[in-house]
Amino acid sequence: MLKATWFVLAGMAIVFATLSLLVLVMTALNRWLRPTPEAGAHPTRARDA
Amino acid sequence: MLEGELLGVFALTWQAAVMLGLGGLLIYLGIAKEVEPVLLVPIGTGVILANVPLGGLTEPGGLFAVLRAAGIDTELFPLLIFIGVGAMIDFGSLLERPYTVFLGAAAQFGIFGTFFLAYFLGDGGLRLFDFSFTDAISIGIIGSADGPTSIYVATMLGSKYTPAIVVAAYSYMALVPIIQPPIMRALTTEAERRLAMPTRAQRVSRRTRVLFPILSILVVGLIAPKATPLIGTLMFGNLLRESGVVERLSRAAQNEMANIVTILLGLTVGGMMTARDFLRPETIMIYVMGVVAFALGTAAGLMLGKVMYLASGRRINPLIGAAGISAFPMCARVVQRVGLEANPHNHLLMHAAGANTAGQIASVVAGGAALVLVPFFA
Repeated sequence: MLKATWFVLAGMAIVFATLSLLVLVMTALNRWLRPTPEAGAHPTRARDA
Repeated sequence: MLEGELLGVFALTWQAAVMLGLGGLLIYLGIAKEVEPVLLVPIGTGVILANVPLGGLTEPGGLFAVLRAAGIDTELFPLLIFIGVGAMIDFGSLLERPYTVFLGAAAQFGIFGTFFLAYFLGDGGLRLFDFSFTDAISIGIIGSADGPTSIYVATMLGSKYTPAIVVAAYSYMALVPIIQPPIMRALTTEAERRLAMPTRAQRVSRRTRVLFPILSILVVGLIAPKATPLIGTLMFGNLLRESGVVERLSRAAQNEMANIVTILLGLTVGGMMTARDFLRPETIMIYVMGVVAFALGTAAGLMLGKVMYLASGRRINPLIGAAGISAFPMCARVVQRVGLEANPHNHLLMHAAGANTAGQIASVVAGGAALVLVPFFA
């Protein structure tokens, strides 16, 4: 069961590490590519509507 | 001659009869109770067709054998489904609230915790069931609450329980509104559930929405390369949606392609449920493990939600953590409903949708992580 414990820890570590990087990506995108006022906030929803 | 090859009634075993009844039950649940009818009706029909004696659909060259070889063994069907899923998902709620991604990550403990239990019950400890290391991982993947990922991982790992795992994964997704609320109420206080959160969030540009799927493929693919087919198809579908220039393709992915593949996938999964492979004690335990997986995922998301509640100075409602498992959009709706019960002015839907879409990405990452790690541990 020791290897199963390590498997669980390693798996969760990979999940958190990957998603932490995604948070950095999202934060960077939101900071550097802010919407211009005339561009609208939700193009997809506007398009769907 | 007649008995052996022409009249199937003489070849009908009690096991096949049970499976025919099970197929009928799945069709009944789909039509009469509207439990995931899009899947249960084709799956139920597939079960019946596969278990009609001497029907030959599962024999080499038969319809189900051909479909299985072409769509399941190659992982083609789940990947095509993911293009459609990606085209249907709006990641806007997640991009507006990036912190919710951690709730999706925490909820993946449902996968790994269930793996641990299944392995303990099987080859790793008690040996009560015939669960190998890779079978236990495949069972744990039910906790992803994500049908295509369950099929993909179980098939890649060559689990003999793939049909039961797939049916359990899809069945429990329909039961999210029943499984989750008691856990949510048990693990949160009334004061926590009452906490209202602002409905407005930061705005997200079109360029962000377009770049996000591309960058997600790169980030996930570079860390968990085995997840590349899943994240790649999911985000390709989302790029079709968000690009705004291929509306026709986006709609085709969401409708025609997703529908056709769902029919083929449902029939094929049903066709894999033959009496010989399905009627065994392990199948019942897999269904029990499915509930455990959903409960552990929900509990883990809620626990991180409670940490965020305290760390944020009581500005984040811990209920949204329950939406971290990727059954989309059911989990987000359940969170909204439970939140409204505690406070009629509390609208958690958009926050929960962020965690819910994060769970979709996280489940893919968790599946990829499991596949990456197997050679080192199994």
